[in-house]
Amino acid sequence: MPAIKFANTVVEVESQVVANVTAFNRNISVSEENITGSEDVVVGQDVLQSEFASIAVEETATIEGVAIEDSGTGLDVGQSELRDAAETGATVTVTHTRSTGYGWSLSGFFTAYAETGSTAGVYRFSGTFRVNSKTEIVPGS
Amino acid sequence: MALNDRETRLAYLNDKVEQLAEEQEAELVSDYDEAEAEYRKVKPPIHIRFRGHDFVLPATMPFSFSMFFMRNCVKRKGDKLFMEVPDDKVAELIERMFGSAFLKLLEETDVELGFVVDHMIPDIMGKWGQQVASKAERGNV
Repeated sequence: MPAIKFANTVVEVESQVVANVTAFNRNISVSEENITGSEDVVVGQDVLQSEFASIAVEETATIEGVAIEDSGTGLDVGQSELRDAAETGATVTVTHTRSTGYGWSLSGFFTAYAETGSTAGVYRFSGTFRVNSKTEIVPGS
Repeated sequence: MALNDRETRLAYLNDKVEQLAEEQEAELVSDYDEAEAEYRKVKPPIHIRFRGHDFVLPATMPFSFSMFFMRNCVKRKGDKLFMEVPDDKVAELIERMFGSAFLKLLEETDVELGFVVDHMIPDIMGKWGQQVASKAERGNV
């Protein structure tokens, strides 16, 4: 569990810290469109040179960590607060703050979520997170 | 434990991550203590009685004895291996095989070395899976 590498990386729901991230991997994919025209020919040949343009960027992140067990009341008691958010597709924020105070904040929702075990008061979780927006964190701002 | 504010929650999660990391590290340790205890049940030690004293020897050749034996007592003659104990290693061999209490007993009584060398050592070596000649030459076993 390489916690040091991802120190100060947490998951927040409605500005409340609900989990600590111990492994993090961002995946970016770009959708493209073929924009080859009849003029795009290979010099001296009778074949086209394909040309593409990026039209959309999407990002997901796979994360692992530990989530706090819900200490509230009702049906969700004993379940992790992060699971509550994942089950409802609620917007969550992954925040990483470096020792300098700078960092970033990713906002989105879970497209996949699993808990792999629990120990006193916390659950181990892993999931895929759809990133809808990214915000830089600047100290003092 | 009330987890009401951000700092308390962060500290709580960091503690849990550290605790889980320690547990994970402990799980990676291959503990052979129990396996060795089981092994000893299957292979009970050898009990010998000599001059009214009881001695307990391992059921199979101890690793330390094996290393001593291979380094000091095995000689190659042509394409054959012989057991030959140097004069200055006889006492150490007896101590490593029978224990220091046994060697002390030999030193304090009139037990003949020939009896130990001709009968006891070959017998124990046989029980440990190493057949050796029982007739000793001078300085040899």
